[in-house]
Amino acid sequence: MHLTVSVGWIGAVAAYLALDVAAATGRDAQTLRAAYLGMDLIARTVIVPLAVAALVTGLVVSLGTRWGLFRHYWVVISLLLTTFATAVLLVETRTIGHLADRAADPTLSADGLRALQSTLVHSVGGMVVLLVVLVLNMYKPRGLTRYGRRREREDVSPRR
Amino acid sequence: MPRWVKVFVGVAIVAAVAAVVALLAGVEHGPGLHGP
Repeated sequence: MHLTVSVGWIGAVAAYLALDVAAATGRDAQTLRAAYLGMDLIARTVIVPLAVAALVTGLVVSLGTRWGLFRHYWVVISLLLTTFATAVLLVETRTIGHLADRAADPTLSADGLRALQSTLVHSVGGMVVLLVVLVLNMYKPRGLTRYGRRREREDVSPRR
Repeated sequence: MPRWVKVFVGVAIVAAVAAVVALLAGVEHGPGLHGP
């Protein structure tokens, strides 16, 4: 479940990125209008639900297994990056909605559409963060936190 | 702390400082990359 929603999140951001590039580089008014409306739709109905699901399932999986939430550095870093990415996404969704509202205005000229801001910085940055988390989750690099080492000692020699 | 964590934290700090400097310098999203 966690794997499915996490990889789905990356796929959805890739689709969003394609529209974002079209919105940032396109000159045709119809293409620009469609791109901004599509970006809003994908962000609200696919990316946000997958992001929240990835965060929640990640918490459940880590707390419900021997990996724990604060025992391994790769888990802690993944949690921080996923939380950060989700927070930025939730803020950015409002900006995307505003851009889509502007683009949906039939009175907005082609020049007006071309003057709309791009969200490329956030979408490219978001994709990089998600790929870093993916690599961490795939390779699970060694390294126990101080708390993880303490728990490990307790597990080996339980108190009587 | 493993070496990879130290490198990771170092890169994260550099990225965060760069983002703050860009924000303070007034860099915004801009109107896209539309050619002439």
